Amino acid sequence: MIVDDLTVNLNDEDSEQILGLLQDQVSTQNKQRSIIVVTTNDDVAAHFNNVIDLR
Amino acid sequence: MANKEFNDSVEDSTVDSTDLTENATTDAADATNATDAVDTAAEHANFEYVVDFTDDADSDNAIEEATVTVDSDGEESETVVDEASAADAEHSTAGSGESETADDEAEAHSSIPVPDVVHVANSLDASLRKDEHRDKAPDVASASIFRAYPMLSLHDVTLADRKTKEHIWHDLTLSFEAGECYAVVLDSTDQRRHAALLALMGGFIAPTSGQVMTKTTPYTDLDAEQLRGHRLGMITPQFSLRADLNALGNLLYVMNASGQTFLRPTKDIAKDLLDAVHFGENTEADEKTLAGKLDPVDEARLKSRVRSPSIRTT
Repeated sequence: MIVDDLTVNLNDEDSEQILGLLQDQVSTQNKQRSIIVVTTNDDVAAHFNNVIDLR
Repeated sequence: MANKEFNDSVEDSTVDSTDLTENATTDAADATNATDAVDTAAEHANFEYVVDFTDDADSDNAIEEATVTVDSDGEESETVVDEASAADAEHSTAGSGESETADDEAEAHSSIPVPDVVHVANSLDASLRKDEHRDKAPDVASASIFRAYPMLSLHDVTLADRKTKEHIWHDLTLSFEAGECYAVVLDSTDQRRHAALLALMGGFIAPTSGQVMTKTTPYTDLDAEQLRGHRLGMITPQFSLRADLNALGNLLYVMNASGQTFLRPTKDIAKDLLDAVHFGENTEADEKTLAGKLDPVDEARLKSRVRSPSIRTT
């Protein structure tokens, strides 16, 4: 799943909630996924173990 | 701004798709195609390269020697194949039996014109160097044959501006494993690179060179419905929802559009999906509220469902 700056209109608390939801989707009962969040925000990137900095 | 570029990119995709088909060939195929006249020689040389590459223990040495050989002895096909075979025999267990055949056949082709051989040697050289370089890149370790293929991968992807030919992305290699979360951080001032990367990963545009793959399948082998309907979910800040439909309607819309059959009534599945993301839990919204009137949090919740390929299997 590719996500483009989903949290851009959300405040910090809401962003955290949504990013948590996304991360929950990585491993579900019957599927493994990759979640890729494309962002320009370091605070968003800080939520992830794998950070690819292309700046 | 980003939208406009994105749309432009979408329009470009038809034109670019032919390019991509050409680019979709593997390195090995490139080497074989180098010159028709010396096809056989190229095949032999290609064989050496394949064996070297799969020989784990000594692959670095073998590839180095082969590269040196092709460099210095490019003038004569016999020498090229001979010495490459020797290097191979030293470093590879599988190669020893085959080297004699390669010698014999190389002799049969010793009348091949020099410029052609140099051409083959050069293209092989380039191909070997490329793979040598890949060997050292950390990303390749994760693409090793002993592990599952990455869910999504970009290989040496270059995207050039159609008019200026400037490289928006140059030789970009990335891989994303199943079961992992990634943040890809981009420069906030460069909307063009941002839009281009998304368009590449979403399969809206084809790279100028290089390849984008999902597991073992290049994007070029998939049509839009297969790719974005089944394999890939994409959540963008815009256009993710239909503002004129309610939450349930948006989900049903996507489910119907997927062309899949569902084991349970789609409405029941859609309700479960909304419950799973706590839709409307702390706002006034319910599943009937039009998406255009939703609180941003519920909107984001709904987007994560509407654009998730998991809808199909839940």
